[in-house]
Amino acid sequence: MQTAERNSPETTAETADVPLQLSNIKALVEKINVEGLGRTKDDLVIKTIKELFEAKDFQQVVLKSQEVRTKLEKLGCFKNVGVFIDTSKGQDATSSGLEITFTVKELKRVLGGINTLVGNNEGSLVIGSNLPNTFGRGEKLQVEYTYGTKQSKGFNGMFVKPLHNKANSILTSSFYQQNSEWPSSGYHLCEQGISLDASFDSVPLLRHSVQWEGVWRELSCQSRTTTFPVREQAGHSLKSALRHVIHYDNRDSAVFSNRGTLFRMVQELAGLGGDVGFVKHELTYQLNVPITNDVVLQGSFQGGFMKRLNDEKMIYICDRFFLGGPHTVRGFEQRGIGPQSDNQALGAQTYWAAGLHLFTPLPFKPGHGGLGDILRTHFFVNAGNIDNFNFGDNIKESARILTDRYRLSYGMGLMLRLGTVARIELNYCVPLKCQRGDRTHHGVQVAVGVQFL
Amino acid sequence: MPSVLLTDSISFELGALEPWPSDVKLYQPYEVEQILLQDQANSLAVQVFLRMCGLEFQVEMRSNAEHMSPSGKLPFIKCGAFVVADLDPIVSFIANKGINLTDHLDAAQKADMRAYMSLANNILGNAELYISWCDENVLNEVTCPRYGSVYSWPLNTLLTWRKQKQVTKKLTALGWITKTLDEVNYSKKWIFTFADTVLKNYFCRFMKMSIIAVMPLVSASEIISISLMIDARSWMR
Repeated sequence: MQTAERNSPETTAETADVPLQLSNIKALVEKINVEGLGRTKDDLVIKTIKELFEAKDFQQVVLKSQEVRTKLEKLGCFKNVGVFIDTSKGQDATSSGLEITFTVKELKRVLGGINTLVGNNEGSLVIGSNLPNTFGRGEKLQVEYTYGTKQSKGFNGMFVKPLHNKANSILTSSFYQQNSEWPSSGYHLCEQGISLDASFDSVPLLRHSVQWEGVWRELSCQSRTTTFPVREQAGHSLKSALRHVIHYDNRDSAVFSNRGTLFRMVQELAGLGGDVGFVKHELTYQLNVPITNDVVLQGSFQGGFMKRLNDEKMIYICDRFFLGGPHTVRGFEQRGIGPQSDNQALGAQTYWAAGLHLFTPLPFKPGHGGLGDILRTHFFVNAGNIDNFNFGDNIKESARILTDRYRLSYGMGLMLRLGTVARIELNYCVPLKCQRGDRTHHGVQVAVGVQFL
Repeated sequence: MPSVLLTDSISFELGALEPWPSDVKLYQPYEVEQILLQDQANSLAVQVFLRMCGLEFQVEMRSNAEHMSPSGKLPFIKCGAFVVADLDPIVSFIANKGINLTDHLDAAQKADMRAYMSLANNILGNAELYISWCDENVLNEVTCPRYGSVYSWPLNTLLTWRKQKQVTKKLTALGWITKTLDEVNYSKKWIFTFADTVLKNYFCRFMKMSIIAVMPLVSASEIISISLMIDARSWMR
């Protein structure tokens, strides 16, 4: 037990026999210096480091200074932050006073880079430049040009303003242009739009986003053989929509998760201006249960429902839901389930899809560090249904309609992790139940992407 | 990638084997609020031609007809599984089925006919575009409101501006942009008298033939539509 007069950890070396209780050393932070500030505003820095003054003993000082250091690094203003704790010197110093110095290195004014990005069955090259800490409070101005393997090109300019409050609120405004090809439906889509977003945490880990989006879409047929129902939708449309997203994710990893749940719900109201009007709800749920050390059972569910707003506004094919493919119900071609015309998917207004997966390590167990970490084997059963259902008032009847002509497939495969967000799947799929018109795929399916059923 | 020309010729060959379906539809923009001069003229030309061939069809009006068309030209017909746009391709498509209006003409007269049609298309077609898109009065009072009537703000202004740029570019390439309205009117009047003469000549030479057989020699539907349009403000000069 040490007495309260000890105020410096340097003396602990001489009394190594007796364990030192840092929590018993009374300490007070009297001065905090921050060196290396340039354009970052003072009030933001003061707000972040203020809590350090509340520390009462040495253990709290050490722990809190680490917390503050992490917070400073997360502000988006600094490259790295160093901490130096010393006794306070000078005229006002007391015997238990401490002086803490944070040495920060600000981010450069302009940063640029060329990255690669992995999307669903597509890789892209991203050339971008950003201005970090633009006005001194952690804002970011970013401009990006994307070129994808499937001839999708896009351009994106974004301004992000974090509010640095308890709810971790961030305001984002962006304008973008995106060209994408959808050969499974026979059209090419060019979208240009503006979006405004406000995100915040209502409770830790539960993130809300309220967005407004105004998009000018131009749909054109890919070739002369595009089926006529899709050709009828060619042309220009304007969508002005409000969207609310709730996102909850407490999984330990987004790619190979061992435990935790993911819950995501999106609600969209389009029709405040423009000629597109609908109400759309979409839900994603995933639950991971570890069975033994390495074996994980995962259940996942996705569903969506949309309804036309009124008679004056329309729903276009690019707004509808599609089902089928290596990212949703495996064992079917991309967009292969649901209303089709001449082997091109038309989409529908209601769908559900469910999957049950068993993840196991590789059979010969290479162990940790190496292939074992990034490869897994995977057994799955997928089911789903999609159509323009007409629901009545009877819930039982509606449930029967939803499950009446469902599709089912099963299979097994290998998964390879790419970084921390994406994975490659190589599966052998067997479609069990399908309906007339569906495009099934019995055999090997490869998929790269971020989101899977 | 298969060549577009090959696909077209194959599809025409396949189309020749099928008889004329009963549910053929002709697509054009909305007649009352949207359609512009040139599209109206072309649509009337196709309709007159189909009726003269005795073929049944229905007219469907769509606001996005211009974008539905495979080549961007209006009108277009949907005949079974085939979608064919513009007067000349439609005439060829129907000719492949063995139906045409020029059986009684010999090779020299057919060549003459093609020359007259091409002349009419070039001069009248470009005059129509010029009047609609390059004359300030017509542009502001007729063309812009009509073209943008089917879109919501701000698309109506944006798309009209974009279309005007496209048409101006095309007319610049053809040298029409430098013409004044008087010159354009002169060209129209010239072709009027020319068509008049041709009609008279052919009428004299083939007096026994019905007018119907003679009409296609000069894209007569263009004349009909123009005479209808003569009442429109833009032509009161």
